[in-house]
Amino acid sequence: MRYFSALFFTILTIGACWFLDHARLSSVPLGFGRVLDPYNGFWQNMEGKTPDYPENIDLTGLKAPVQVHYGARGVPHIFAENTDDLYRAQGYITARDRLWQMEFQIYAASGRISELVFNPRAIELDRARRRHGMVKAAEDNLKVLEADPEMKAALDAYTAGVNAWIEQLSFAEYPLEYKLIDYAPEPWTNLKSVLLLKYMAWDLSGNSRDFENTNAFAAFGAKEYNRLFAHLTDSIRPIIPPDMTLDSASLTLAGDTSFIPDWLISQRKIAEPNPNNGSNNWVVAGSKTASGYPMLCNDPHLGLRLPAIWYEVQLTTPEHSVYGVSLPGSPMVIIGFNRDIAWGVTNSSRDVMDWYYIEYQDENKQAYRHDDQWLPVETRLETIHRRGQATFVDTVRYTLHGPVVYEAGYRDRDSAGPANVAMHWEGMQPDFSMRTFFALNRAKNYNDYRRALSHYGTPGQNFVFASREGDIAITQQGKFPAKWRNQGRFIMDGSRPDHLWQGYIPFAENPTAKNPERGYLFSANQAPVGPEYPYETSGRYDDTRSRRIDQRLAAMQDITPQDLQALQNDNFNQEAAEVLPGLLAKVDVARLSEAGKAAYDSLRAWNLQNEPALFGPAFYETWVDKVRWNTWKDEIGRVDKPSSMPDRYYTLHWLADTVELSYADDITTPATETSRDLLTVQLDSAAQALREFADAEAVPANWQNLNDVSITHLASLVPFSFRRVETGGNHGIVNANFNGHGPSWRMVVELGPEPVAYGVYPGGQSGNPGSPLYANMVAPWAEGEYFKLHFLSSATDREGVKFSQTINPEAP
Amino acid sequence: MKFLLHVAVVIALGLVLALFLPWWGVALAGGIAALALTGHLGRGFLAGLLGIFLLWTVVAFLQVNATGSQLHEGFAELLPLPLSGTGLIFFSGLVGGLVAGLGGLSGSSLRRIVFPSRRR
Repeated sequence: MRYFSALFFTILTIGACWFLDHARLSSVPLGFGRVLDPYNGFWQNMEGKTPDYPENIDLTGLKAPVQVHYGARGVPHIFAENTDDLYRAQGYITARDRLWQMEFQIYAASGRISELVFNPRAIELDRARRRHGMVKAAEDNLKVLEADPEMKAALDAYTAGVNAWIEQLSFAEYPLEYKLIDYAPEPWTNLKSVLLLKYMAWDLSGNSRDFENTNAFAAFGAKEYNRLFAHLTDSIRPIIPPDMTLDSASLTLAGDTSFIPDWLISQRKIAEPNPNNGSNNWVVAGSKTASGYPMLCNDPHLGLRLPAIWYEVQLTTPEHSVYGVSLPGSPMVIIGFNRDIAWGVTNSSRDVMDWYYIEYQDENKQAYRHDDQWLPVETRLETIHRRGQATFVDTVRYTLHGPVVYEAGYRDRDSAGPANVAMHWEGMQPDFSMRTFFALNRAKNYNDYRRALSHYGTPGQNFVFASREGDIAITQQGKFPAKWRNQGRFIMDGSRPDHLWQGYIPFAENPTAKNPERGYLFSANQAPVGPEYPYETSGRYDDTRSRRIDQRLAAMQDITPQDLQALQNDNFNQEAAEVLPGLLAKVDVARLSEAGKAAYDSLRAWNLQNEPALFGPAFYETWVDKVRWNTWKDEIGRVDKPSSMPDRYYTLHWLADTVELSYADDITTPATETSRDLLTVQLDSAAQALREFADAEAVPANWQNLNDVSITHLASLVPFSFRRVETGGNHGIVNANFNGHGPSWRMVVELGPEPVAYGVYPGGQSGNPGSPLYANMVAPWAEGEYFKLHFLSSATDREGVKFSQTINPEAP
Repeated sequence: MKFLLHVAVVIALGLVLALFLPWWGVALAGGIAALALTGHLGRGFLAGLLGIFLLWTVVAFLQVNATGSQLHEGFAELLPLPLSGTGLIFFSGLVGGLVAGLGGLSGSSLRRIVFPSRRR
C-alpha cells in the first residue's frame, strides 16, 4: 500500500507537470505552469518604463566595436565601422525587438502556419502560399542574390546577427507569443530574408482581376465592358505630367489583340492581398516651400498590425548614414533619407500576375499542350507539417507559365469552365530589388537614384525622390511586361505562344519625370501615364486620392513641413465633393422614411470631412456602397463568381449625371427602376442599416465606429490589439484609414543643409506587448501627430539620445 | 512551528531550484522538503502548496510592481478563465502551489517507504 501510494502520487505529480507544461485544448493553451511561472513565464516579458539595454554586449563576428544610441522611442542609431558590422548589428538589434514577428511573417509567407496552430483554416492558407510558389520563388531569387558578393555579405551578416540574438535566448527571454503558442525560435537564414521580400511582393502585386474580368466580359459584352471598365478616363491625374510622358516605344508587340475568352471561370479564388494596399507620396520643389528647400512625403497604406510592419532605424558607416524604416527580417532601410537625398514608395498597382488555362495530355497530368506540342510538367511536392495532425503533402505542377495554382479538385466548382489554371507572376522571377535599397541608402544625387532603380524588379513601385541639390523626381519602376492591348486582362490560353509575355519594358522607357515646372510630383496609386504612353499599363488604380493631392499641392505655396503633415492627415472626401450634390438632387425626399429623411438632412449638412465623430460620412459611405452594389448586382448575377463591378467612383459619377444610367434598372423585376428610384430606396436602406448597427453594437453609428480602424496583433490576440481607433479617413481619401488598413508610416522630410524630418507609425519599436514601447505611437498617429526624427550626424551627436550601448567584438 | 519551518524550506528550495530548473522544479522543491521533513501526507501537500503559492505570488507581484507593466491584465484575457490581472497573480501561485503540493505528497509518501517506522 505504501509503495502503491508513493508510486501513485509520484506519477500524478509527473503527469501534472507534463500536462501543465504543454497541454492544449484545441487552440487554447493549457500549459499554465510553463506560462505562469513568475521566473520564466510571461511575467518575465513585463518591461519597465526605462529600457534596460545592457551598456556593453559582445557579438561574435564583429570586426570593430559598434555604437548604438537610443532615443525616447527606442529607435536605434547604429554606428558601425564597416558594412558587415552594420548589418550584423541591425540583425541583432531588430531581432531583440521583433523576433517573434520576423519569424511569424516567414511562417505565413512560406505556408507553415499549420505547424503552429490547429485552426483548420491554416491548412488552406498554407496550401495557397505553397501553390503560389512562394518558397520556390525565394529559393530561386536567393541563388541570384547570393551570386552578388555585396548582397550575399549583407544577407550573411544580418542573418548572423539575428542568430546571435536567438542563440543566447533562454526560455524566460522568449517573446511571449512563443510561450503562449508553445514553440521555440528557429535559426534565421538568408532564405527567410528573401521570403519576406517575396511576401511583400505578393502583398503588393498579388492582386489580379483576370478571373473577374473574364466573367464581367461575359456579363456585359465587349462594347459595354470596355466602356465600364476603362481605366484611362478624362478625369485621371496621371503620375507623370502629360508633357513629360514617353510617346514612342522601342518594342513592337505582335499580339492577339482580338482575343476574347469564350469561357467562364468559377474557381473559388484564393484570398488576395487587400486591394487597398496602396500609398501616397509626393515631393515639392524649393520653389514652393517656405524654406526654399525641397520636401518629400510618403505614407504607405498597408495592413495595420502589431507588431508594426515597420521598424525605425538609423544605419551609419564611415561611408554613409541613412535614417528611415526597415522591414524586420531584411537588412537596410526601405523608406527614408540621408544627408543628400530622400525617397519614398507607393505601389504601382500594375498588373504583373496573369493566368493561363492549361490543357493536360491526360489524367496523369505529366504533360500539357503548348505550341502544338506536349511539354513535360515539373512537379514539386510541398510538405505541410500540421500540429497534432498527419502531415499533408500537396503536389504542385509547374509549367512554363508557372505553377498550376488551380486544379480539378482544388477550389473548383462544378462548371464547364477550365479547371486547370496556371499563374504567371513576375514576383516569381528572381530580381535584384534588394540592391536598389542598398544603393538608395547610399545615394547622393539624382543619378545615383536612377542607377539604384535600374536594379529594381517586383513589386513595381512609384519611387519619389528629392535631393539637397534641389532635384525632385518620380519614377514608376518595376519589371513590367510589355503587353499588347488587353493582354493579361482576361484568362489566356496556355497553349498559345502568342499569349506569352514577349519582353519587358526597358528601364529607360518606364514612366519617369524630373523637375516639372509646376514644382511638385505625386503618386497615389493612380494610373501612371495618360493614353499617349505607348505601352499597356493595365492595373488597379485609385483615381480619387490623386485628384485631391493634385488640387492641394497646386494651390499650396510657402509650404512648411506642418502643411504637408496636415495634407497626409487630410480627411476631405473628394469623391463626395464631386458626386454628392448630384446624387442628393436625385433623391425623392417625399418618398423617404423618417430615418431616410434624417439621413438626407445629415448628408445635406455634412462638411464633406470623413471625421470620426461625424454621422455624415457614415451615411454617405453606407449609402454609396449599397448604391453601387444594387446598380450592378443584377447584371453580374447573370454570371458565376468571381465577378467584378465597375469602380464605385465611376458608378457614382454616372448616376449623378443628368444622362440616365440604364444600369440603374433592376433587370430581375418587371418594373423599370430609374437612378432616382435606386438612390431613394438605398438611402432608406442605408439609414435602416445604420440604425440596426447602432442597436446591435450599442454604440453610436458615427464614422469612427462604422469605419472600425483596427490595429490587430499578428496572431489576432485581442487584448494586444486596438479596435475603433479614433481617427478619420477611408479608402479613396488621403488619410486612407479603412478598417484594418491605412497609413502604416508617415514621413515628411525637408532636405536643407541638414535633413529635418518627422515621422510616426501606428505601433512602437518593441514587438513585446509587455513593453511601454509596444503601441506608444498609436494614439499620436491617430491624432495626426508626428515625432521629430533625430538624424544623428555622428556617433558623438547626442540630440535626443537617452541611452547608449556599445556592441563589442567577442574576445576570441 | 515545525510546519512553518517546512514551508520556509519549500520556499528556499523553490528559490534555489528556479535558478537551475524550469518551472517544474517546484514539484521537486515540495518533494524534497517533504521527503526530508514529514511522512504526513496532508502536511507534505499543504506545505508545498503554501510555500510555492507564497513564492510565486510574491515574485509575480514584485515583477508587476517593479515594472509597472499591465501585461497581466491583457494576458488574463487570453486564458480560458474568468480572471482579472490581480486574479492571475493568485492563480499563478495556485498552479505552482498545487504542483509543489503534489510533489509534497510524493515526497511524504516516499518518506513512508524510506522510514517506515517513524511516521511523522
